[in-house]
Amino acid sequence: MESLLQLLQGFETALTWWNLLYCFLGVTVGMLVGVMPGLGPTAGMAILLPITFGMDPIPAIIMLAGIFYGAMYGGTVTSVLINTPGEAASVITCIDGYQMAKQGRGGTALGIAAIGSFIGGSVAIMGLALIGPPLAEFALKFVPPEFFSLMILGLMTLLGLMGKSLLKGITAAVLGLVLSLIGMDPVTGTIRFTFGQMQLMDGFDFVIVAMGLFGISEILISGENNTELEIIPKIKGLFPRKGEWKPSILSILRGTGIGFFLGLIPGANAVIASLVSYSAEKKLAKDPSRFGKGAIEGVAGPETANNAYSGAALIPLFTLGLPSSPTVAVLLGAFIMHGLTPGPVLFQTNPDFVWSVIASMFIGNLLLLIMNLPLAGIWAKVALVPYKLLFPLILIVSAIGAYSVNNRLWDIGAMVAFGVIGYILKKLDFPLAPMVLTFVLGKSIESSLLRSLKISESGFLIFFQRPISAALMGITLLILVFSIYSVAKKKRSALAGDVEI
Amino acid sequence: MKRQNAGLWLGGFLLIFGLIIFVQSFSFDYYSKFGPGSGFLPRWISGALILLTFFYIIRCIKKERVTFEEILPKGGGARKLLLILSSMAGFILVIPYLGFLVAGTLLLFVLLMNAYKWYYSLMISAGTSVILFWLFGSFLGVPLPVNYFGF
Repeated sequence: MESLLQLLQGFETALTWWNLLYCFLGVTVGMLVGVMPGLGPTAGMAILLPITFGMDPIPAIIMLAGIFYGAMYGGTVTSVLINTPGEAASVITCIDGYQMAKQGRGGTALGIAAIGSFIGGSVAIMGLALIGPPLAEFALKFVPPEFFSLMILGLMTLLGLMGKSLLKGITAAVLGLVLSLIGMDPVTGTIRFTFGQMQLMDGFDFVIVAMGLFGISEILISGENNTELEIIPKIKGLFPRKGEWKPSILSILRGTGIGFFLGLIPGANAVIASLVSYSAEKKLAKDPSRFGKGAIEGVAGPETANNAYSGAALIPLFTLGLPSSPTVAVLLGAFIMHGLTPGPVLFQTNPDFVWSVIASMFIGNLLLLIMNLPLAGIWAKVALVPYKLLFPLILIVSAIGAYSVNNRLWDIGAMVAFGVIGYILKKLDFPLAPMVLTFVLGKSIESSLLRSLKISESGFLIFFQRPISAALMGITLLILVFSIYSVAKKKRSALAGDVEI
Repeated sequence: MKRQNAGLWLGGFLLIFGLIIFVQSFSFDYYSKFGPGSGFLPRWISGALILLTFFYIIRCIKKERVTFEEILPKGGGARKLLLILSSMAGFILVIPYLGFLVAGTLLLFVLLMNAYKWYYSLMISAGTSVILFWLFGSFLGVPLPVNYFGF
């Protein structure tokens, strides 16, 4: 009941003209980022992060969160109409969505995707509103040993994002940690590994690293290939046929459940959510042979799942301060940049912020539904903006963004350097997601580890002497053993492929 | 160079980086009477990086031979890549003297001139730079670098 009242207050703040405007801007940019191939939500958010510097935290996060979930809607449009996923989570939609478009049913595919996305997204946000406060209250019992164990568990679940090679994945994760050590030690304040560069006193800024690794490297890779323009089919009729409503709704409900559950697990991602949903739909269908030939469930389920995922992925962030994917890590960076500490205390110290952002997400989902149902054709045209025009613009906005972090040119150079590093790592099949996640968590990991060891009378045993911490460490060890076993048996799932989401 | 093992080069760089951090970590306290010091985690983590890179190098030699030729673009793709990187480097070098407006226009013009007629490229470049200069400078309060004349 208390949550409901706070949510209503959140609506009061979110419905002010300025916040509505920023929510609209966020979801519109999210749609653009989702529609345009060559620019994913992580890169889009990272590039636009510096723009929010001068803003208050509430509108800033409302806008950035809008980009995050808006991109999930946008990616669908191009997947269905021109068989080109705008972002990775919509890859699976190409299979049946594009087939539907070829049969003249592109409108129906987009319609059901928008409805599913709205339901999935809204249910997930409702989950955040309901589960968030009790989970945060429970997490208030956490002191450094529990936080350390939780972060180690989070990192261990990253094994899911480690790509095809465990060795490369772990190397990338450790490299991220090493980079986070540069600058001031979070406990004693000692300056380390700056190589005489004054600019490194505070370490590398997360925005610079994220913009370089995701934004610039994506530009460099996309710049190599010339994308051809396609003709967009006309969109007619947005709703399914009479007999299709029931299977579509069931797919949407299943997609909501799958996406929501996977969103809670650090290390899963929106692509996994849509893939799992697609395979579940195919298995449950009476006639699985329809899949791949324009089955409406093949669009409804995955599209719902990736939106439910993006809402639910915010639960670990808001309640535990744990980013579950690179995109959420960028959002975590934004929280820190605006002086907010994501984690259990956030619900207590900044309730107005938390509830306004949650309320804005309901509004944002509604805006996206309106934007997508009648306006899908217009968005598809955006995808046809030639990349040769787009990439120079993205490049210069990134350069200004990097500059604005500290008002110095050094940061633009650092961003380009990280872009080149990201480009080389991607080319050699190193996953970037673990690197960014360990980088953003690095300082917290070090401070919780050192603080735990300082209060401990039995060294590392402290992590196994406290019940919550011991349970978390137990799960971590289980995952580790299972992963090593699956590597030994060469059973690493195909889902473990590295995807930038 | 083209036929050289790219993974081996990357492994080598990571190994050197790990070794530098590892060696430097000895100049910080590993443990003090108050508990672990600022050299504690760096020593372990850089040690782990060295070990992992060592395994990666062995893998590159024995199993995974990827040459630069295989991963780097050729022809037009390579030229575009070089153009992007060199124009960004040029932008960083000239911006303190020319200011954002001129340097930004130049950067965009260089990147667009092969795609559009020169006057279109110039118009798009100058227009975009002016809009961004106004948007960031006046609207978002980011003081972008200016030249002697104030733009």
